[in-house]
Order: sequence, then C-alpha cells, then structure tokens
Amino acid sequence: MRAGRGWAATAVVLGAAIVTGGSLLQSQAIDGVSNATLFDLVHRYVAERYVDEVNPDSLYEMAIDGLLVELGDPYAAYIRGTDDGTLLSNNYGGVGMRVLAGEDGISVLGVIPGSPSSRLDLEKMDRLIEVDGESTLGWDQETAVNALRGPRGEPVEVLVRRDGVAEPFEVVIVRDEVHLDATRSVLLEGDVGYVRLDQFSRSSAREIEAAIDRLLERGAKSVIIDLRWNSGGILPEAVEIADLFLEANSPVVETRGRDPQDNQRFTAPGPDRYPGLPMVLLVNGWSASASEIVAGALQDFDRAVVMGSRTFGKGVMQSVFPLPGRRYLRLTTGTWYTPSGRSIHRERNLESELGSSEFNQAVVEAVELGLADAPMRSPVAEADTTDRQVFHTAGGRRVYGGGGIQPDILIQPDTLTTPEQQLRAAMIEAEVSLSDLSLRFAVDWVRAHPGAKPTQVTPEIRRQFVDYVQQETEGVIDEVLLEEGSGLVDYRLGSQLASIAFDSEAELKTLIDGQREVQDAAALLRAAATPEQLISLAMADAAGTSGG
Amino acid sequence: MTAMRRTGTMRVYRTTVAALVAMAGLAGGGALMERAAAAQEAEAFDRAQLRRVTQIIEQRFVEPLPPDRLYRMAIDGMLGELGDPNTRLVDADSATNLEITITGNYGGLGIRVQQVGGWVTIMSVISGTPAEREGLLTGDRIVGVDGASVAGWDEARVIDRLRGPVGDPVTVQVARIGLGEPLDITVVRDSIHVPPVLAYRDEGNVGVVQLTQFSREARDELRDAVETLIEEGATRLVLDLRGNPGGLLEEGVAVSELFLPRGSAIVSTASRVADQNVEYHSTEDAAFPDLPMVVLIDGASASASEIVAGALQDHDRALVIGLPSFGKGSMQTIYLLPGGHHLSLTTAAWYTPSGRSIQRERDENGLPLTPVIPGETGALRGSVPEPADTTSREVFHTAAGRPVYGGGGIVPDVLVRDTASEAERHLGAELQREALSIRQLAFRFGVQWTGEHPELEPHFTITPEMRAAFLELLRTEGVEIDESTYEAVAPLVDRFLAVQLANTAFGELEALRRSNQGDVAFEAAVDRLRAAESTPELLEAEAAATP
Repeated sequence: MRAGRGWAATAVVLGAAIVTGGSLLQSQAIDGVSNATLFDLVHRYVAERYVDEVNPDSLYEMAIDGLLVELGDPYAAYIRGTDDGTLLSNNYGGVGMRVLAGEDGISVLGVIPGSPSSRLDLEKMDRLIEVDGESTLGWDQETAVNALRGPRGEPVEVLVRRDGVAEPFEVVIVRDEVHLDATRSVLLEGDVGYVRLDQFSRSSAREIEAAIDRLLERGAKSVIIDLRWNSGGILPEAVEIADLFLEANSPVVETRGRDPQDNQRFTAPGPDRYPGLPMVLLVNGWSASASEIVAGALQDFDRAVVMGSRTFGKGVMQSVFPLPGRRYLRLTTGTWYTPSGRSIHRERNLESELGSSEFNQAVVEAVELGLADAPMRSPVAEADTTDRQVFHTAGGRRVYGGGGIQPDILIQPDTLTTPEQQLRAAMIEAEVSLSDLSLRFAVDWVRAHPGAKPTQVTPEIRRQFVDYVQQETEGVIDEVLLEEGSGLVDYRLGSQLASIAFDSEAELKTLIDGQREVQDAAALLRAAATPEQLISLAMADAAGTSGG
Repeated sequence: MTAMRRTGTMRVYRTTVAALVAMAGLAGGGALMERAAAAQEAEAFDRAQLRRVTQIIEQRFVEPLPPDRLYRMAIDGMLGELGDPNTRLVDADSATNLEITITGNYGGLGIRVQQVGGWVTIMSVISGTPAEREGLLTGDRIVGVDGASVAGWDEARVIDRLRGPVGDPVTVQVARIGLGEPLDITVVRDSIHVPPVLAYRDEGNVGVVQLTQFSREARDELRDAVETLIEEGATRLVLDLRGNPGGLLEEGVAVSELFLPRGSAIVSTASRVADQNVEYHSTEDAAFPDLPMVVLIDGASASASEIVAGALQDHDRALVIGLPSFGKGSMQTIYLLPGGHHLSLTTAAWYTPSGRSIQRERDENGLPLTPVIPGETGALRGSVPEPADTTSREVFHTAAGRPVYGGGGIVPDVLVRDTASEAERHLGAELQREALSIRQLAFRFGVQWTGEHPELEPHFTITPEMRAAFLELLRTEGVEIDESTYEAVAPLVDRFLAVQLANTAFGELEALRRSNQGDVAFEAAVDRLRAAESTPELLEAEAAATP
C-alpha cells in the first residue's frame, strides 16, 4: 500500500481539524463566511479538480442556470445572444411568406401583405425550387425556413416555378422587417363581428381597433374577441386593448412586487371607443397572462361576457433585464391583480405540463399551423368554484380569485369520439400529424384542381385523402381508422383545404364555422342589443346551466 | 436477508469513497491552471454576469431572498448542472455525519433508530455504550428529548437532537410496551464507536464476517475478528459485503491487503490532477494468505466494497457470490471549506487491477440505465441462478485468465438471485397498499412478543402461536390475507420473525445469524466452502460446474 500510509496520516490530521472545527463553528457561526466567498472556493475546486474538465467560464453560466432552477420560478431564464426585438415583438428579418417544404420543393402557402414577397408579386402556390442556387427538393421545413430567414437588408435569390408559366423565373428578395398581423377578422351572420388575436405584440391594440372599425363599417352590431390559444405578450398592450372598451380612468390592472418600480396601477387613459357595443370574449385553457388581464378587466367592469373554458391562470409578470454580451435575464418580478382585486394565479408544475407529448402535439397542431381550437382535453380541470375566494364586479356579479379566469358561461370544448381518439392515438404512435398530412394533401389537391373552391370535404376528396394517408404511412394508418374517425378527418382536411384555396377571410370563416364556442357566442350576441342586455342574458344562461 | 443492515440510519454518506485533502492544496492550486488572457477575460465577464444576475434577483424577484442565500443557490445550482449526484456542498450542521463515516465515532448514546409507525423507535442498542448501561431497550419509542415532545419528528431531527458534545447529559423520554407511563432516562453522551464488523462461526468450520462500512479502523477490526474465528477453529471465511455502501478508499485498500501477497496491485485512480493519479499496491505480507474465502455482494455493495471485491476477484483470491454490485467507480475528495462546510467533489475514477472500471450509468433517479440481469430489482427470495447479461460488456481477465467484465458493477462469479412466489408477491402487494413493510411489522411483533415472553431462549424456534399472533397483527393493520396464502408464505414470515425476535431479545449478532439461515446467497457460499480446501479449488469447482 504505497500511498496508503501517507493518506492515512493526512486524514488523521484533518479528522482532528473537523472535531475542533466543530466547536469553532459554533462561535464563528455561518455568517462569518459569506456564501459568495464559498462560491468562489467551490468554483475553483470544480474548475481545477473535478474529474471531467469543465470550462471555468461555462461554470459561471451553469451557476446562473442552476440558480434560476433553484429559484423555482418556472418563467425565469437566462437568455443568450437573442436580439431584443424578437423577444418582445414579432418582427424578424424575413421574406414574408408562409411556406411548406416537401419533396417537390418549397410551396408558398401565403404571402404577408406589405412584405418584401408581396411587393415582388410572389403568389400563393408558387413553388420555390432553388434558394441561393441550391435545389430545394427534399428539404425539410426547418432547412427551408432557415434558408429564407436572415439579417435584414440581405438579399436571397429564389427560383420560382408557377403553374401556367412555362419557365421558372428568378426573383431576388431583399429581406426586411416583416410584421405579422396578429389579428384576423370576419363578419359572421347576423352582423356579428369576429376578431381573433393570436398574441399581444406592440401593435395589437391598433390592429384590433382597425379590425373592429372595419367590421362596424360593414354593419357589425356586436363583436366577439377570440383570445383562445392566446398565451399573452407584453403588459402595456393588454392595458391598451382594455382601454379601447373602458371608460377613462378605469383601473385595468395593478402589479405588485417587492421593488417600488414593480408596483404600478394601470388605468385606461381614454374613453370607451365603442360604448354600447355588446361584446363576448372567448377564452380557453391556453389563454394566459395578457389575455387574462384583458378578460379580467372587462369581466370586472361587466363590459363583456366571458365565454369558453377556464383560463390558464398565469397571474405573475416577468421583467426582461438586458445584460452585457447580448444576454437577458427574464425574472418573475410581480403578481398582478384585476380591478376587483383578485389574483388569478394558479400554482402548477409547468415543466411536466409543457413536457407532455400530448401538449406539444396539440400546440404544434393548433398554434404553429394556425389551426384554432384543435379539439382536445382542456389543460385545466373544470370549474369547481367552491373553494375559491369571491370578488364582485362593478355590477355586483360574483367572480373568483385564483385558478384562472372563470368564464361567465362555461362551454366544454367538443370532445373527440372514441374512434376519433383512436385515430389520434394511432397517429401519435406512428409519429405523423393529421394537420401536416392534410396540409400537404391540400396543397397537391388545389394544384391539381386550379380554380376549385371546396367548401366542404366531399366523399371523393375524402376517398383521395384516405389513399394518400395510407400511402404516406405505409398502411399503418388504415382505411378503417380514417373512415371511423371521419369527423376529425373532415374537420382538419376542410380547414387546410380552405386555408389553401380561399383568401384569408373565407378561410377563417370556414375554420370557425364548426366551432361550438363561436356559434354559441354569436347566438348570444344576436339576442342582445346592448351590453347590459347581454350581461342579463348571460346571467340567466349561467343560472340555467348550473340549475340544470 | 439484509434486515439488520438497513437499520443504519445515521449514516448520510452512503456512497462516498472519501479521501481527505488539505485546504492548503488550494493556495498553490492556481499554478496548475495556466490560462490564456482571453480565457481569463471570459471568466471575469461571466463572473460579473453572475453578480449582476444575483443583484437583479435580490432587488426585483417576486419573493424576498437574502443575497447571501442566492450565492448558496448558485453553488447548489452549479453543482446540480454538473449532473453528478456525488458532487455536492455539505452544510456545517451535516458535517458531523461525515465525521462518523470517516472515524466511526461520535458523541451520542449508542442506539440505532428508525421511524416505525409514526414514532422514532430504537432498532438496536450498541453494546458497551451509555444507552446499554442506562437501560434503553430495542423497541422503545422515543417520545421526548430534554423535556420537549418529538411527536411527528423524523429520524434525522431526533438524531440531531440526541447528538451533542461528549460528557453532556441528555434526557430521553421513551414509551415502552408494558409500561403505562413514559419513562425518563438520562444518558451522558459518550464517544460512540459504531463497530463495522459482526462475526461468528457457524456450526462447522466456516467463519462469517459482516463488514457494514469502511470506517477508519475497518481493517484492524476485520483482522482481529478473523484471527479470533481462526483461533476458534474456522478454516474458511465468508466476507459479507452486502449492503456495505463503502467509506474510506484507504480502508478498502487495507482490507484487500489482508488477503493478497505483498506487491499485488489493488486499485488505481485517474484524475486531472497529478496528486490523485495513484496506483495502490499491497505493501505488507497478507495476514490471511491462504484462507479459502467467499465474498458476498449485492446491489447495495458500493465503492470501497467494490474495490475489495474487484481486487480479490481479479487476483482469483475469492469466489464472489450474490448479485451485481452498485457500480460506483468514481472517487470523491472531501474539501473542508470555511464555516464548517464540506465540498464533496468527484475527482477521480478508479480501476481494478485488471484495468476495468465498474461504473454503472444511472438516470437522474438513480436507476441503472442498463440492468445487468433481466428484471434486476424487487426480489424477495428464492433461488434462480441465471447468467448475467454480459454480452455487450468489455471483457478483462483475472490473473488466472478468468473473464471478468467492465461497467455495471462487479458481476459475481456465482449469481444468486432471489425471486418471490406468487403468494409472497400477493403479500408484498397487500403490504405496499397499506404502506407497510414486513420488516417493520416483524420488528413490532418482536418487541411485543419479547416483552410478554421474557423466557425466550437463544435457540428458539418459530411456534404456531407466534405465527397466529403475527397474522392477527397483519389483519389489524388492514392487510387482507387468507389462511392458505398465509400458509404459503410461512417460510418467509418465519425468517422475518426469527430475525426480529433475535434482534430484540439477543442483539445484532444473533439477528445476523438468523438472517443468514435460509438465505440463498449465504447458503450457496457455505455449501461451496465446505466442499473445497482452498480458493483455487473453489474457483475450479465453479468453472467445472458452468458450461
């Protein structure tokens, strides 16, 4: 035992040090040594002696990441090398197209008005067969998107094949800031206006205002604002949106933190822009944060009827702190309260929820591909208000604290039939997406039927789709599964066909036509002439529901 | 059965091969790291970044946190991000536990405790300690310490309260079966030595030594115990390392030295720093060069246990029997920090003499990523020897050329796996449903029965009355079990009752003897030892038996 004795000797000496150290410890106490000093020592030991080599500077980054984990703030993050712009608004350097990559190149699904692509007269259903001289055949979606995106002002060269034009032609697009309009609107039957807001960005209030004004010009007598799937965004924009509908100086939201600068009362600066306009806000379990601020304020002032399912319950706010080196710290700095004084925050294990494949699948399908309201399980258990603190609106109605915004009228989202669930499970198992297959099929179908305007999925179209899916999945998703789950198939396929074949408004109308929440909201609005009438109808409806 | 081993609840550092290194090493340590100016700049930048982040959190985070606490969280966070469960900062107040691991000594009473049915209960009393002198008994429930109730406290909190400076008195209030009123017993704390060795000779010539941890005097105590056994007539040895979580590296080396010729390689360590790249060789003549021996291991045999098993296996010095061991092939160094804190840092990997690392990769819950044998967990008893899955593992060779395997713990030469019968699985599921364990219930039964039957003899057998009384206890606790199932699990129940009755009435050694009776691994060891005159004969017989 060559080294053994030497080691034993060292150990004995130190063993003694521990024993005497014990009593020293009590007199010196912990405050004798700051944890900052301790940190430096630990850092150095790890950097110099840990069994695997670790970069000393990356150890500090690990310390920052680890510290944020230890904080237990699910929204805290140390963000590296991101441009401030992308963090807070949806402007990026791009060409302004929605695209789908496939075996036969990149198909253009839509061109954003006012974008570089629209200025160059690129069209829906154009095919980009080369980007910067490279063939795009067989590219995946990520490669396609990355190739088209880039710094503002930098050109990208695309070779375009267009149906009806003999030869492919070249277009040079100079990337620019692309502004995505986060609102989409349509006038429904019975003069009910419908505005959907997908997220809160810097211009959302202006966009909503413009959309409502357009709808009013076309004769709208009431309006639905759809905040389903809207996971929030920046706080001031939520205040501005609420301000559109509230009287001057009405409180909208109050934030409270530990630092005085986090204690703020936000009030509506201007008068109600639309006095007397009956309104319904649609929400669901993925309406969060800024969506909940708007819903909470309009509910507390009896200004709108909130319909749908219980919201997410994110009642805390984050601040983003810029740090040197293009890094940012996002940190929860306060809790916010609605005008009646309630916090709607719900404690949850965010990580496990976000980690579930069901969630990811649903969000990918519903949000990224622009499909509102994929029928799915609501993330929030429904509506037990018994244990919740009661608050009152300006008009004296009962509302509840904690656990998200409780809608005035609860609508369970449509649930899938058993065969539909089986189809969905089989698709998840086979790692294919019905939305994606529908979209690819729709692109091919519309190309093959120029000028056709499919308003519904005919038996012939479905027949072709079933063949297509069986072929794409090598028979894993078979005819029986697809026929028995035809309700879900028709819904998805119909939405995608509409999105390719129609302009934006017609597409939106097709999309929401089958949605129970929208239909119920429109029916309620058609029956009410004033906001007051709407509220009493809603109260009667809710009483009827709970009584029955 | 490893009944008694699990009662060692006072040990915190279960898997530490601890090697102590002086703080002085740090002062000169900077010279080791010659870094370019750019790297230093990057480090300074990130260091400042951490300071900014803590300042922002301190001022703005929604919950108030003292800044100093933030640095502690940064330490834990940084170490957590390393992804090594053995690298962590140990607080000053937990440091005494570390000392116990290293020295086996502490200022206390001399009892092992565990929470049973909501109360911290004395599981055994160590002989020669103040607890034994003042009359504390196995089965006593601790209800108060120094006049304060400890209702609802967990073991760690009670242990913390019981420990203290040597010479200071502590008054323990205990509830004892058969006494109407709780009893106040004042005990003067003494330096308690937890003996790591239990030894006895079986009816024949086989000496049995159980080593429970590698504390500082492990080698000396083991040598004394084996010498005594030989004097009493033992000519063969079972060294039982099952459940032994390890301890000091040097003691692992020293224990191996007892059995290996001078100059034998024992273990080598590899690290990034020169002072921890060490090859350990035996520097003494073996105390027991020729004693035929079997080493018993299981999935809880770790670190220093694996050094011993690996060295003896590689030198063909012992037949290794049992289950694949834990697989801890890394070494930690404990650094003393100001304020009484300790940093346990993984600084090296170690290798057996044949050059294998037995490190087993685990997921974040500590579960092995690749089980060595199919369904390698949750067994009760029964014998199903089957080959370990060694197909994808690197092969090494012992001195005599036998194949041994890298990764995934020490694979025993003879794999003995326990399996449960259907009736036993039923009982297990029933107990689990009620959140009970058969060992705890048997312990309660043992305390009750011994209290009521002081006439129990050391050679007692389990009687139908005992069995019936235990069935009644099971049913009182809500365990649903019919007569025929109970009949079918009788051998299992009998062994648990025997072990716990022996423990309460006659102490740890008697309990160990009972626990080994009918134990499949133990009996496999004894059978083979009786049939062989030397270790080479043991190994040859095994080679002949396996196709």
